[in-house]
Amino acid sequence: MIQERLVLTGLHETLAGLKKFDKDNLAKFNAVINKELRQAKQAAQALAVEYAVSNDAPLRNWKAGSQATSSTANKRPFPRWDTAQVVQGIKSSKAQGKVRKGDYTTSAGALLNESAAGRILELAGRGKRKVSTDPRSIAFKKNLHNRFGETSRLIYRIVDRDRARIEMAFYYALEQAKIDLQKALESQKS
Amino acid sequence: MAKGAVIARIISEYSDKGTKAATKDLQNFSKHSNTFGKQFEEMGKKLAKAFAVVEIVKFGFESIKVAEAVNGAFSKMNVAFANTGSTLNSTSTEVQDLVEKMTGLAFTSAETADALARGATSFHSATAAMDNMGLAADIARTTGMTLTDAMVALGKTAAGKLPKSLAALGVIMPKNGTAAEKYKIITDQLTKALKGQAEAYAQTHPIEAMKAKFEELTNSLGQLLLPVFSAVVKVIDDHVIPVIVKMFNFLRENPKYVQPVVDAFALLVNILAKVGVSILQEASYFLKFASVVLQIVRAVAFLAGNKGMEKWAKSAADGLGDTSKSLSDAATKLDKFHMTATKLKATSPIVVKSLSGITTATNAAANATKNLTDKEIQSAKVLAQLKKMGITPTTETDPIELEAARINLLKQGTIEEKARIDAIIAATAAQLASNEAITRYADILAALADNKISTEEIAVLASKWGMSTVAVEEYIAKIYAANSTPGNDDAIMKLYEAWGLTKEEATKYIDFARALADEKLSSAEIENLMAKWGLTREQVLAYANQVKDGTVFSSTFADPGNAAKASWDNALAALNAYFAAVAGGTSGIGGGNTGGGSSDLSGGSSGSGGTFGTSLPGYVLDQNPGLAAAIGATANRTVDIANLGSSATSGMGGAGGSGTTNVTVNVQGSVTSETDLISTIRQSLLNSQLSGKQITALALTL
Repeated sequence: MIQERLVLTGLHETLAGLKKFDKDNLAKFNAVINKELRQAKQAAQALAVEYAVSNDAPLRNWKAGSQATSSTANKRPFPRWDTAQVVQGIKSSKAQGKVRKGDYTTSAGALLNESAAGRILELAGRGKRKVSTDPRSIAFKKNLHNRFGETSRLIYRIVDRDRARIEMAFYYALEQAKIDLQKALESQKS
Repeated sequence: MAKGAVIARIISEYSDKGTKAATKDLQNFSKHSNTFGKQFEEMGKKLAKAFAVVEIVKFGFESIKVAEAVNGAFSKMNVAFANTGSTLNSTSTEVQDLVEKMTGLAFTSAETADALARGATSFHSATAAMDNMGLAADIARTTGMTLTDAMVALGKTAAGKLPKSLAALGVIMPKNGTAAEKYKIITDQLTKALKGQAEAYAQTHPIEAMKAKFEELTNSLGQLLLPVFSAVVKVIDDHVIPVIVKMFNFLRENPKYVQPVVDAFALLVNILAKVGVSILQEASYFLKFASVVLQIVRAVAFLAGNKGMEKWAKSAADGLGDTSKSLSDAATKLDKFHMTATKLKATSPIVVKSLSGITTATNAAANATKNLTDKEIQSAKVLAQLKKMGITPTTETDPIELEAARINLLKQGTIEEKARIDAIIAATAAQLASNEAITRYADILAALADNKISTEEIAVLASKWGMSTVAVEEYIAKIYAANSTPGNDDAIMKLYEAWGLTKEEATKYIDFARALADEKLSSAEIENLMAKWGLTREQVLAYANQVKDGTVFSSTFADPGNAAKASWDNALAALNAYFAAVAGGTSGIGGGNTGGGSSDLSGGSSGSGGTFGTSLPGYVLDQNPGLAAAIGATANRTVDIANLGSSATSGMGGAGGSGTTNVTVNVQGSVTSETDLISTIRQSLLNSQLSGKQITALALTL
C-alpha cells in the first residue's frame, strides 16, 4: 500500500536557529513535539499492559516474571514476559538514527521497543527466513496472530494509528517555528 | 538505545546525514558501473559536493518539468496578448519586470504568466491585465484564491459583474455610472482595503517566497537543459527508432536473427550511454536518457516477442524513476548488456558501421579529455616545484603585460650575464698581470744571476717585455728599491749610478720607492721624507708621483717611444740597404710586412707563464681585442730567461719573392711568429742605434 508520508525539511537548522535567537519559541516547539511523542509512548505502554491480561502475560503459556538467573539455566532462554520491563522498554526518541535507504531520510521522532519480550510480541511471525519447524514455535506464533492480529502489534500499531495526526502536529509546529525564527531574525536585524 | 530495539519511526526528515548517504551511494553506483567509467565517477563527485544527490535527481527532472510548464504558460500568455492586438510578449522588458516583481511576492513565473493570459482575455487588453496584477495579488493573498482566479474576478468586475469572491470582501457594485466608472470605484475600494496584503504575505511567509525564487532558479536551469534533452530525444526519434522499425520488420520475416538484434541493442545502450554521459554531463539527464533508451528496448523486446526482455526493460525503466536501489539495479543490468555487446561485432556489422562514427567521436573526446588531464597534472607538478622555489606564477593574461614581463626577464638575464663576464675579465686581467709580474721577476733574477745586470741584458728584457730600456730600468729599480734593505743597498746604488743617477739621487729614489712599496704614502712617511730630504710636502708628493709613474729616469714614457719611432725609420732603411748590398736583390722587409716564407721556431717554453683557465665566449673576445691578444700572447709566448742564450734559426727563403738568397738570422731568445722576429730585429737595430754603434750585420745582436 502506498502511503503519502510527510518528510520534514530544515528541522535541525530551525532548531539550531531558535536555540540561538529565540529560546522561548524553541521551548514552545519542543513542548509540542514532546507532547505528541509522550502521548504515543503512553498509548503503546497502555497497549502492552492491556495485552498482559492472561496470567500476567499476553499468552497463557508465556511465562511471566523475571528471567531465571541460575547457572544451570539455559544460556539463551525464551524471554519471560515482565509487563513492567516491557512498559519500561517502550520509549520515545528524537534521535536521527540510521538513514533509510529507500528515501534517504532520517528520523525526527520515533517509538522504541527495547525489551526482548516486547520485541517478540511486536514482530513474532513476521520473518520469512529460517521459519522454525518446532511445533511449539508454530503454535506460539499462531496464537499470537489469532489473539493480537498481524505483526506490528505494539508500538507499530500505535504509530500506524496516530502517524497522520502526529505528522501534522509536527509540520505545523515546525512551520510556526520557522515563522518565529524569521521574526526573531528580523528583530535581531532591526 | 538498546541494541536490537525495534524502532517505529513516526516522522522523517531530510538531513545532512541522509544527503551524505545518498552521495556515497551515487559514488558507489558510478564505481560499479563499467559502462560509465571514471568520467561518470568524477562527475558524481563534483555534483555531490554541490548538492544532495537525491535532490539532484529530483532537481533534474523537476527543472525540465518546471521549464516546460513555464514555457507553456508563457506561450499561452503570448497568444492571449497577441489576440488583444498587443505587441507585448514574454520577452518584453515590462513583462519580465512584472514577473520578477511577482516572484518577490512569492508568485511563481507560471502563476504570473497564467494570470496575465487570463487577465488579457478578460480585460481584452494586455496592458490592463498587467495594470491590475498588483491588485489581483492583494486579493489572492487576502482571500486565499489563486492569482489567476483573482485576475478573472477582476475581469468580471470590469465587465459589470461582481463575483461572490469580491462581494465577500465587502465590495458593493455602484448602481450608477458607466462600467469603467464602476470598476474604478470598486478597484479604489479594494486597493484602499487590501493594499500591501501581498507584500505582507511575502514577508510573513519567507519560505513561500523562497520557494518561488527557487522555482525561478529551477526554471532557469530547466531552460538550459531543455534543448539538450530535446536534442537527445530528436536523435532517438530520427535515427534510433527508424532503425529499430526497419530491423523488426525484417525480423518478423527472419526470426533467426532475433538474438543478434538483442545483442545489437546491448551495443546501442552501451554507445548511447557513453554519448549521454559525454554530452549531457548531468546525472539526472543521463537517467532520463537511459530511461528513454530502456523504454525503446522494452518496445523492441515486445515486438520481438521476447517476454523476458520486456519484463526486464520494464522493471529497469520503472526503476530509473526511483532512487538508489533502482539505480543500482539498472547499472548492473546495463553492465550485463555491456558484456553481451561484443557479440554484435560478429553478428551485425551493419549496426556497428552505422554507429561507428558515434563511437569514434566518443572515444576521441575521451582521449582528448585524458590528454588534457595529463597535461593538467604535469602543469600542476611544475607549479608545485615552482612554489617550492618561492616562485609564484603570474596570473596575468594581457599579452602586452606578458611581453613586458618577458623582456624584463631577458634584461635581467643580460645584466647578470654582463656582470659574470666582467668578473671573468677582471679575474683574467689580474691573472695576466700576475703572470707578467712573475715572468718579469723571473727574468730579472736570471739576469742578476751573476750579481750584475748589463746594458745588453736590459735591452733583452726590454725587447722581451715590449717596453723601452728606460722603462725596464725604472721597473727593476723600483722592484729592487722596494725590496732592498739598508744593508744591501750598495749593489743597487751602483746600478743606479751606472744608469746616470748620483748617489744622492739614488738614495733618494730608494727611500721613496720603499715608502711607496704599498703604493701609497702615509702622513708619517711624508713627514719623514720631508725631514730627510729637506723638501716641502708638495715636493715630496711630486717626486713620489714620479717614482710611482716611473718617470724618474726619463721625463715621460713617451720619450723613448718617440725616439724609437724616429730611429726605426732610419734603422729600417739601413737594414734594407744592408740586404740590398749583401744580396743585390729586392727588399724583403718593408712597412712591417714580411715577404712570406716559413719560420722555424724553436726554444723552450716558460714554466712560469700559463694561461687563464677560464674560457670566454667568442663575442667577448671580439669585443675585447686587447684581452684576446693578451690571452693569445700569454698562451703562445715562450719565455725562459735561462734560454736567452739559445738560438733560433729562421729560414727566410723567398723573402721578397726573389727566392735567390737565403739569409740566416740568429736570434737570441725565442720567437713565435714572424712579427716577433721582425720585432726582435727592429729592437736590436734600435739598441744598436741608441748605443751609437755603427749598424752592420755583425753589430746586430740577434
